[in-house]
Amino acid sequence: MKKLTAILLALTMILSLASFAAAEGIETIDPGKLTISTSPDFPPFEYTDDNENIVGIEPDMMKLICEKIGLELVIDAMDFDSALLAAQQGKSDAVVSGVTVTEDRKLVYDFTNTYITITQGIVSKEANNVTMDTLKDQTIGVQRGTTGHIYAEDDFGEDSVVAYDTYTTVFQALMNDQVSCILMDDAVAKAYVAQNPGLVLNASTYEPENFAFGISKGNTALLDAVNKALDELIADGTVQKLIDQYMAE
Amino acid sequence: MEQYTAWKALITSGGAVTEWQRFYVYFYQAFIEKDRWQQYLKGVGTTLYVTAFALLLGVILGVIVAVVRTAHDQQRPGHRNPILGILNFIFKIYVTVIRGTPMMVQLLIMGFVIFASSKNFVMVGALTLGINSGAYQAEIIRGGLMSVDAGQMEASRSLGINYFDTMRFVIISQAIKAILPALGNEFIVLLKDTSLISVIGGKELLYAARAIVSRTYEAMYPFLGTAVIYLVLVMIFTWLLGIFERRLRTSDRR
Repeated sequence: MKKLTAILLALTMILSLASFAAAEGIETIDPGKLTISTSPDFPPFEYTDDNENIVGIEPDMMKLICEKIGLELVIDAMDFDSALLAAQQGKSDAVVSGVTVTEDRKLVYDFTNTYITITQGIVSKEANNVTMDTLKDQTIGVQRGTTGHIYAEDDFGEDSVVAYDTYTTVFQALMNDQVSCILMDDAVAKAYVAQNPGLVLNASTYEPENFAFGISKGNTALLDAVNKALDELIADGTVQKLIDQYMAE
Repeated sequence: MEQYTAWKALITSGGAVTEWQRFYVYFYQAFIEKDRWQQYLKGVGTTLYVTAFALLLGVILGVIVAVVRTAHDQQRPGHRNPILGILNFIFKIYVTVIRGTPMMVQLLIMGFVIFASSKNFVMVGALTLGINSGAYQAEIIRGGLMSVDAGQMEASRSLGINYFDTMRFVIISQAIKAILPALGNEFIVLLKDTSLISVIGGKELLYAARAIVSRTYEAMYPFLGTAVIYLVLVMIFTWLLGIFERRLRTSDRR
C-alpha cells in the first residue's frame, strides 16, 4: 500500500512538472508563476473592477503572454512608486503599470518592446482650462514617481508640484480645487475626463513616451520569452484589439 | 563630483566596484546630488512646525477636556451641575470618535472632505494631528488629575483659594509630575505621526524622501536617512523632557 502511494505521489509530481514544461529555462521568483507589480488606478491600462479583479489592457495582455510562455500570472497591487521598486528589488518579476521607458529607468529594468506610444496631457476644470502656456503659474497635481511628476518638478520646481499616492486622490484634489491641474499620460486622462463631466484635457508639448513592461534586471530568459509572445500578440492584432476595446469603454 | 560621475557610470555599466564606492555613489545620489539635502531640511522644518502646532493644540484641548471631565466625575453625590453634564457628554463623544478611528482615515476626511477647499495641506495636517492628540492627552491628564487626593482640593478651597487658582497651583502642578512620562510618550507618537500627512500632500520629511526615491530608483539611503533623522529628533525631545522632569523633581528630596 505504501509503495503504491509513493508511486502515485511520484507520478503526480512528474505530471505537475510536465505542465510547466513550456516555461522551462525561465526563472521567476515563484517557480511556475509570473509575479507582476502594478498600481491599479490607471484606467484603461489597469484598474480594479467591481468584483475586485484587476483588469485592463495590460493585465489582459499579461494573461495572454503568460498562456503563451506557460506561466501562471500573479498580480500584486500597490502604489506606483512601490510597484516600480518591487520589480527592482526582486519582489516581483516585472512592473506592469503603464511604465514609460526612460534612460534612467533603463538602468534598473530590462524593458520589453514597446506596445503603445502616448504623450503627457494636462487635465483641469473647464473654468480654469489650463494649457501648456499657463501651466507654469499653476499648482500641479501628480502621482508620485510618474513621468508627469518628474517633468513637472524639473520644469516648475518642487514647490509648485503636489505628489499623491494614487490617481484617486489626485483627482479628488483637483475636484476640490486643491490643485489646479494634473499632468499625466493622456490615454489615462481621457478615461478619467470621460467619467467626470466638467473636466478638460489639453495637450502638452512634452515628447511622446513609450510604454513597456519593466522586467527585473538580468532576467534575460524571461525578457526574451515575454518579448517573443508580445511580438506575436502585436503582429496578430490582439494588442490593438484590446486597446481599442478598453479605450472605447 | 567627478568621482561620483565616474563611479556611477561604473556601477550602471555593471563594472566591478568596491563596497566603499557603491556606498559613496548611493549616498551622494540620495543626499548631495542636486542639493537634495535641502529637501530633507525643508521636510524637517515642516515636521517640527506641524509637531509644535499639534502639540500646543493637543495640550490646550487635552487640559480643557480633562478638567471638565474630572470636575464632572468628582461632584458630590446629589449635586449635579447640568452644564458640566452637557460638556462632559460632548467631550466623551469627542474622545470616543477620535480614539475610535484611525489617524490615516481622519487625515483623509479632513484633507478631502472637511477642508476640501484648503490648499494649505500642512496646516490641515497639523490641525488633524492636534485634534487627534488632544483626545489621547485628555485621558492621560484626566488620569493625573484623578490621582491627586480629593483632600488637596478641599484643603485649598477651605483656605479661601478659588477654583481656578487651586487647579493651577495645587492640582495640575501635582498631577503633571505623575503624568509626564505618559505625556512624553504621546508627544513622541505625535512627532512620528507627522509622517502621515504626506498622504494629503503635506510636504514633510517622508514626502521629500519618497520623492527622492522615485527619482533615483534607490530606496535604502533616503529611507534609512529619514529614519535616522526621526530618531535624532525623538532623542532630542526625550532629552528635553528629561531635563524638565528633573527640574520638577528638585523639591522631592532635600
